[in-house]
Amino acid sequence: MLFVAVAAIASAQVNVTGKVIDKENDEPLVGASVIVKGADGKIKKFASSKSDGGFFMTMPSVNGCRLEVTMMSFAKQSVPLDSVDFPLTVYMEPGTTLLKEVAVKADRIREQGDTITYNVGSFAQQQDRSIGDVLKRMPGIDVANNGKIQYQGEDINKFYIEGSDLLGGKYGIATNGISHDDVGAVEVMENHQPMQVLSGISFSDKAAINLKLKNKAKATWTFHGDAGGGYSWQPEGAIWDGELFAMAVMPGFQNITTLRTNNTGENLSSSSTDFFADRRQTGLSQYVGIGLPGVLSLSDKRTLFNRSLLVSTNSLWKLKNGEFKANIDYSFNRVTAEASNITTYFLDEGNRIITENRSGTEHTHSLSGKFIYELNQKTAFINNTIQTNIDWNDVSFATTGSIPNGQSADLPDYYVSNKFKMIKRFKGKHLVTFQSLNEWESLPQTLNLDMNGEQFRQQISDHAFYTHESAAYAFNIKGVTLSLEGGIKGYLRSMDSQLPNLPQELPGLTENVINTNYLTVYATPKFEYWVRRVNLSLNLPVSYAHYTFDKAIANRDEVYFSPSLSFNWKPNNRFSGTLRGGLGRSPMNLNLIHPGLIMTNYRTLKSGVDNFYTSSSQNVSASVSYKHTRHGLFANGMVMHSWSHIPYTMAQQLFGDYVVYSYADAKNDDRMLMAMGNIGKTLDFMRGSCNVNGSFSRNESHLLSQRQLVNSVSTGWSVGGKINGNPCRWFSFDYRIDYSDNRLSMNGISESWLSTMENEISLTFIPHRKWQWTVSGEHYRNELNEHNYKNVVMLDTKLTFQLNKKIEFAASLTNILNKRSYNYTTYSQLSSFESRRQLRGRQFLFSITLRK
Amino acid sequence: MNKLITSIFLCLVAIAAIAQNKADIEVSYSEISFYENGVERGNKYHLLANAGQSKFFNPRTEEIDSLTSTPEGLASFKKTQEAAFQAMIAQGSIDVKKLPRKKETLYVVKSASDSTMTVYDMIGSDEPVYYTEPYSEMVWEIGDSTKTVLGYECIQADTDYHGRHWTAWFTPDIPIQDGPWKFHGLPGLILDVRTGEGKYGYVADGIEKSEKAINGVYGSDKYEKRKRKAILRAMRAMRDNPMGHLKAKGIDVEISPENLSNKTSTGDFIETDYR
Repeated sequence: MLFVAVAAIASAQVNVTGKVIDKENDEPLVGASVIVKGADGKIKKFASSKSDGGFFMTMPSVNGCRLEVTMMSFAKQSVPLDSVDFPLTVYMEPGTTLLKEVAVKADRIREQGDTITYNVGSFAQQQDRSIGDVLKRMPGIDVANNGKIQYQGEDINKFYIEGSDLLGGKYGIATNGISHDDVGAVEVMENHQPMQVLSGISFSDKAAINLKLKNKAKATWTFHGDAGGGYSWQPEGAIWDGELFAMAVMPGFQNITTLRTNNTGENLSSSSTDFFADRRQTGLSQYVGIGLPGVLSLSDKRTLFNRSLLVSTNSLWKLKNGEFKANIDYSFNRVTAEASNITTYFLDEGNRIITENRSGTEHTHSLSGKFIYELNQKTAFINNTIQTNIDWNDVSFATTGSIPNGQSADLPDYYVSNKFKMIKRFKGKHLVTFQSLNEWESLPQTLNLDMNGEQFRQQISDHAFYTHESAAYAFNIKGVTLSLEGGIKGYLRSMDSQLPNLPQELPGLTENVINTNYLTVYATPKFEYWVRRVNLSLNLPVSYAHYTFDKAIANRDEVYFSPSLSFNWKPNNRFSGTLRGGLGRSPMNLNLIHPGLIMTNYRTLKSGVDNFYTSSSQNVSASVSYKHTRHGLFANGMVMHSWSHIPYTMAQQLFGDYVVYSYADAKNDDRMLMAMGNIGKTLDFMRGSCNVNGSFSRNESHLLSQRQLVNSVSTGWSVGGKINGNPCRWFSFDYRIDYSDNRLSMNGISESWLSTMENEISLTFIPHRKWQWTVSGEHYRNELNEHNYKNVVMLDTKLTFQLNKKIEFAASLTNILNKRSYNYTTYSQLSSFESRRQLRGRQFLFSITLRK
Repeated sequence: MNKLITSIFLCLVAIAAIAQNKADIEVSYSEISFYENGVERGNKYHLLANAGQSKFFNPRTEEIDSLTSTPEGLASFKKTQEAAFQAMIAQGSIDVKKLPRKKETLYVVKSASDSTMTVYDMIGSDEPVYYTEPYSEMVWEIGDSTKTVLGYECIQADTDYHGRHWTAWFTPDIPIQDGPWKFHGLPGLILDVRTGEGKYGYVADGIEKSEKAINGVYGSDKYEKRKRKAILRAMRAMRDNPMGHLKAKGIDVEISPENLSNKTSTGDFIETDYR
């Protein structure tokens, strides 16, 4: 009996067998997952298909069970087992297995020695185009609105593409142009010393960025182009936006050539600004200033009425010894602006109000060429740079209001320079450096004024030549470097200005014939201690200068000593702290020496000093940075305090409707305190990152106005945050908020705090991998005066269709609500300025993108 | 003519093999593993897998192995190491951890068609060894609990394997019967697996569709075949008595007694059945 029962149970066993076959070609499928689920949905038994596609399982019973067969790239098959005969044949049809790509593969940020590597793919989002869009999302890296890149709060000192410095400081061409899809990784090299000859000898606290391209973008030309056209409601008419970008990254040759043009409000200056440019030692600056008024807190794309063109070609050839680079750029900008302004001057006898309605047009042409030969080896460094810049600017303005007038200015600028530097390292310890710098600049300025039917024409000619020759010797023993640099600097400058038909109410001279020349000899002993994790650097520059002013004012001899000290401590790879301090005396800005009046614009005149002054200053600063790459955490902070003592101060006087600025002997003490901090973190759970920043500044100064001393203190603080993420396959977002508060007090009487707040959000939906829909918007809340807020909301949308990897279509609608004007008030030291400005109205743009 | 047909056939087979070679997914796993002083090792591995085969490896190790599998590559890698070393000397502090080098030396290659896996590893720094193991040694018990890993609903499964008890979480939504390390054989990808006390394990932190080729291990001909337990015993001996190991090779090293640590038995390997 027992035996029979056992036999019955045994015979009740069901053999679940069968084969998994690819329906398309009738071939067996190996490795398919075969599961038997009970009536409750739980897994009862499972197997996988073997090399002949077969599977085998034994079960006591298959009542209510289902057989499920799944495999990547095939649709799931489900078979009820109640009334089937075994062996089964399961045919699999092609299908997609949807992966929730919460995917973060590879480390998003890796660290190897001093190099931090960011995986571009893990920070990029669907709507991103250029590598610059992705850089903004990488914690630790900050891209300013003008395109300048900072790492941990410090400007970068080099921007490389595959290890070559093709673009120098004009790296905006790369960040705006190179497609993020061509870049595999962004490397940040901390403490980067660009000159190999100095490596291990001279400490650098700056970082460099290197773009590591994907293989598909190497050893070939890559192209992409954009062409867009549409219609704008204000300014009314047709709009265009186009770009062509070509790049070659070969072992011995690199080239980037780009052409961009638009009239949609996109400012191209971030692509043409040299972020590494040294200050020109010719030191000229424009006296005439009739630029268009600046706009507070609104982005350019809302306010810029432009027609812009930029052409840039950059080549690098690797030679047998060293490399040769040529960078040639041309840009053209036509900007128009219309504004009505109300300027109020705060005076003891009551406020004076001037209204004006201005409409102006500015044309700027700029042509620049830079030709560099560089040899960068372990024992020798040679660099020769020839640079030339030619700018033609003209501005014309028509003003109606209190003083109706028309003004136009011609402001060309011609500049040529040659820079040579050679460093040689002997026996690993001795360094010899020669440098020679020669610069010439001419800045003629013409201002034409048509007022009350009268014509004024002011002409200024201003040119300067600067030469600087130096030699240095340094030696290094066990981490201590001692160096001595000696040199000579010569400067010749002459400036003439003539202002005929001066309005009668104005006092003073109307002609200037000025020479400001000097000859300086100097010596800079430098001590640098760099062992293990500590770097200490002390600079002790001493110079003697002889100034000649060709009888305009008396000749002078001066001695300057400006020591500075810096200390860096990096106890481990995560933390770095730096202390800096310096003090010294410096000569005044020689542009200020002109006894006669110079007209800046139709109602502002300046007269310079009639004496030679020197100023002194002190500064101390501390900065810290911390990073934990595995956690994707980056933080930095900085505090700076500086004092300056200037023996003259600017004074402002009103003669009728004219404002005359002049300088008077006075003790003018300025104190500035500034603090800022920044924390960034990756948010891996949604492939995103976030950032929080804050800053505080306080500036105290003394100013003489209408023969009375004004003590003014401006205080401001700001906080901001941003977050972005890609929480699921079909959705990504970016959000940013900035809040700032400012206050000005004069002689102990405080104005109220005025705040500005800006929110920006962008949401992208990807309903299908070929379609993308972005909705974005900004909200500005500006406090015009106490508790009186101006709110502006701007909305944009964009729809993108990707036909294939090479062709993409996009349609965008910006400023959907068609907001056409914006009003704001700003305060300068002694006046308030209320402005009503026009905004770009609604615009529709259709564009096509092609890629190779 | 026959030769031609044969060669065409071979080509087709090769193409089919290459097509078969393409992965379906790439998964990144963090290893849960601690140094004897309690500090987490922080090792990272990737799994490239399709229905028929898989490879579990560290991408950096593979990059170095691919570079050093040719003589020129090896020379250039040594140069890189030397340069990094020189740079550290110039700065006055040498931190071996920062040198470009391999940290994780393990590879696990699984093949469903013959139901075996091959494990490649190093004894010490210079003894490449491998062994094969049939799939049948790992037997799972599927449980009732579920939890969510990386957005996927996972089902619990348990196994006793080579000396430790393991709890795994797999997702039937990804129909690949594979997982980290030697783990495999559940009706879905294993996203989380660890020992009872949580001292060993692997947790997935990323999944992506992938069409990368699942290539063999670089320089696999240099690996010597051994028995699994013999390899583990050799590694144990290496860890317990590194000096003896060096001496056995004829390298004489003198270390002052105070630098020799006696605590060697605290941490054990991921498999403990070799003793």
